[in-house]
Amino acid sequence: MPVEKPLGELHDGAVLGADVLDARGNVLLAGGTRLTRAHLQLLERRGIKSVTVAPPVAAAVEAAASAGPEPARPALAAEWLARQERVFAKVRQDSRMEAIYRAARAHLSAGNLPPG
Amino acid sequence: MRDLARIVGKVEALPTLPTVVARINQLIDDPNASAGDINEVISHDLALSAKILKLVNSAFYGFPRRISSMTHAVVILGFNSVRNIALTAFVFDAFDTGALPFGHRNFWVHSVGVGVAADVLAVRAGLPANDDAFVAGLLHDVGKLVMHQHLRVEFGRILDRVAREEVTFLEAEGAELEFSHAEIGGLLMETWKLPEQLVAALRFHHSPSAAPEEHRQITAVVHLADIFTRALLIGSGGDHKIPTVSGPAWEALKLSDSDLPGIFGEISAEVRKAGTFLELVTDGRGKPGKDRPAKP
Repeated sequence: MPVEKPLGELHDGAVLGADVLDARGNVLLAGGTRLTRAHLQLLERRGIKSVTVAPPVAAAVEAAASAGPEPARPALAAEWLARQERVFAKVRQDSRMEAIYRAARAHLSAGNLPPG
Repeated sequence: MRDLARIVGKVEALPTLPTVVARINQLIDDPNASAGDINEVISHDLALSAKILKLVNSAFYGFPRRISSMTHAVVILGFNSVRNIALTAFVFDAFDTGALPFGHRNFWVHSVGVGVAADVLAVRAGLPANDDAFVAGLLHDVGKLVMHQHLRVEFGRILDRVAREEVTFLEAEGAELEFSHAEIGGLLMETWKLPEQLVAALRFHHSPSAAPEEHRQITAVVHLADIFTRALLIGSGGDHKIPTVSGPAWEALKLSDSDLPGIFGEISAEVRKAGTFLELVTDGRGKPGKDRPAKP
C-alpha cells in the first residue's frame, strides 16, 4: 500500500504512488515515476514537503529495471587503469590524493569505465 | 604585470550574451514575473525553445510524461533552471569547439562530468536545491574555449608544454601567460552579468580558498568535482595529469575517505543519464568523428 513520506526521508529510486501536484493543481510528477536526484531537487524547490510513495517492492523492481554498467572487458579495463596510474603519478605522496586514487581505482576495476 | 581585463578586452568578438538569456536573467530578479513572461521571451528563439524542450524531456530529468510546452517546462523546472539551460545551450553554440586539439567530445564529456559531480557534491554539502552547482561545473573550463578561440598561439604553446613536460594545463598556462583560464572564465561570467557565485566558482575553481567567503562552498564543490572527474578519467580538459586537492576545500565539504566510493558511484550513475547534454553538443559544429578517439 502506498505511504506518505516526508521529502527529507526519500532517496533516489523511490517510486511515487500518486501524482504530485503544485498549489494550482499542475502535475509536477506523475504517479509511477522513479525518483532521481533531479526530481528530489525539483520537489524541494517547489515547496513540496511530502509525497506518496509506492511500497519498497515496486521500487526495487523499478531499480532493477534500470540498467547498470556492462561488465568491462579485462584488457580495456587494464588500459584505463594504466592511464589512471599515469594521471596520478606526481600527486600520490599527498594522503588525500592517495585516497582518491585508491577509491577511483577500485571504482574503475569494478567495471565502471568512463564514457567515450 | 599586464591587466587581465585589458588583455581580454583586446580580444575581438568575445561572444555577447544573447538578449534572450540576458532577459531571463532580469526576470529571475523580478518578483512579479510569471512563467508566461519567460515563455514570451523564449518563444522568440525557436532553436533555443527546441533545445530546452529536448533537455527537459531527456533522461537526465526523467519526467515520465512528455513536456511539450515551454510554459509547462518553466512551471516544472523553475526560472533559475530555465536560465541555466538557456545559458548552457548558448555556450555550446557560441564557441567553435570542433577544432579543439584534445577533442570536442572529450572536452564536453569532461565538462558534463564535472557538472554532474558538482551536483552530487552540492547535494551532500546541503547547498540550495537548484542546479547552480551543475552549471558552474559544466562551464568551469569555458575560459579554455575563449583562449582556444582568441589566443590561438598561446593556447598552442600551452598544449605543447603540457605534452612536453607532462604537467597540468594550469601549470603550463602559468608558465606561458600572466592569467589563467579560470580568471578568463570568471571575467566572462562577470561581463555577462551572471550571478556572483557563478563568477566566483569559475574564477577560483583551482584556488578555492581565495574565493569570497560567501561563495567558498560552491567553489569548493566545483574544485573537488573537477578532481573527482579527472580521477575517474571522464573526458579531458586538455591534460593528462591531476592537480592536488585543496585541503580547506576537502574540509569545507566535510569529506572523509570512506565517502569516496559512494560519491564515485553516484557520479558514474548520473553521468550515464546526462547523455542528452552531449547530444546537444554533437549536433553542433564539431562532430564526434573529428575527435581523436577517446582511448586510454
